[in-house]
Amino acid sequence: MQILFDIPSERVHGEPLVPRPEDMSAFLHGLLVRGLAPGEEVRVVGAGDVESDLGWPIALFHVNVVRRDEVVAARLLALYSFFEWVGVATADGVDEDCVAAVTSGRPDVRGRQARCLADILGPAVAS
Amino acid sequence: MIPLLAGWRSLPAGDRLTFVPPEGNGCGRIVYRERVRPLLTFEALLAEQLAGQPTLEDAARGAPELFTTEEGEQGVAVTITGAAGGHLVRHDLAFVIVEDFYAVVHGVCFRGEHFARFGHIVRDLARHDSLGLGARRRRTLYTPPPGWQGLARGLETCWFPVDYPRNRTTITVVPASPGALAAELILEERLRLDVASGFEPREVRALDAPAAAPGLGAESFSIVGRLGDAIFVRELAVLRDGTFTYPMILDSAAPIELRIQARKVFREVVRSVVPLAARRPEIPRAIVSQWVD
Repeated sequence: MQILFDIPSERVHGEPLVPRPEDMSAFLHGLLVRGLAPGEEVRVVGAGDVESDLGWPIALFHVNVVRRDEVVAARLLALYSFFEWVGVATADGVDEDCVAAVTSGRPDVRGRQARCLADILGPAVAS
Repeated sequence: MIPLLAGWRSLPAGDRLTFVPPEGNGCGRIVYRERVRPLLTFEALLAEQLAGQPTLEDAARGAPELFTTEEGEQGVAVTITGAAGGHLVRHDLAFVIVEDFYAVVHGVCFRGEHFARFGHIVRDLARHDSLGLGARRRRTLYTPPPGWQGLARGLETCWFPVDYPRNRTTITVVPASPGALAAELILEERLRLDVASGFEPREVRALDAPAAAPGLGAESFSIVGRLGDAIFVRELAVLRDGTFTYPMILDSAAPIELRIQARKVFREVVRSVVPLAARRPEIPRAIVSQWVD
């Protein structure tokens, strides 16, 4: 299960969907600090609830990665609520193109697991 | 549990039972596994079974065959043939599908003169697979709404259109319940559940019965109510065949033109329901082995 972007961007990366964590604050904190090099810290400089183009709720964070009080990277972190699943996307940039790609995200809940009997028996029913 | 094969060696090991024919390993083998999880799509099931086997060149797959076990469980069998190491090999796979697991009989045969025999035995073993699961809620077999996405929640599946939530419509297929439950009872129970979640019903009325497969009686209700700031229109369809009751739900807070479209889709899903086979009433014999009876 993943995020599909109707407006793809090489700077926007979606991750596999995960069940909504019990502790969203801890989940968010983990996302913010992962991948930081020694001496780097992250600062949230903007946050807000927006909707995707189709109306899915997104918690959007504008974060700066800071080293010695100097901003070394500006990113967007998007948390999508797809029913009981959460999607995470990061954008290596905060410009309009990145926002457009992020807000074009929608869920693709297909996977290897069967959703219903037709996923297994369907080919036989059809033949 | 599957029947013992007379004259074959049976070798239990780990999570499987392997049968070796009187002709020996060089002829082939049949492996039985039970209660395998998770339940995967048909293609993924095949890939899982064939993983670790020598890759088949020029593989040909027969048409999947639907079957029902003596206990009324549903299954699917398929034959795959191809060449491996310069010799023709035939795989016969039969899956018995239960709610959240499956049993599989997988035959591999290396000698052409025994291909048909292996194919027959695999299917026969699967048809006689005894899981002894008794009366219970079961998954319903239906054709999913084309183009919609499905989210499984236990035995229930929630379907939503590609433009959801702009088109705030879902189709929920609830597991089939054993017995002939009154549609009014299902309506009442579902409303109780929804009210506990904040739904405020305003109007409930009976609708024209939807079309259904032969052998299925159908009833339908419309429920209009408010959830938060949205007015939802629900259609509850209840199908019955005397053995099982199959409830299905359409919910929509979308504009009227999208609701009309969704109702057509829903009615097609309802029409596609295939009745489950009636179960054999006998209880399986005393268990002396987890594999064979």
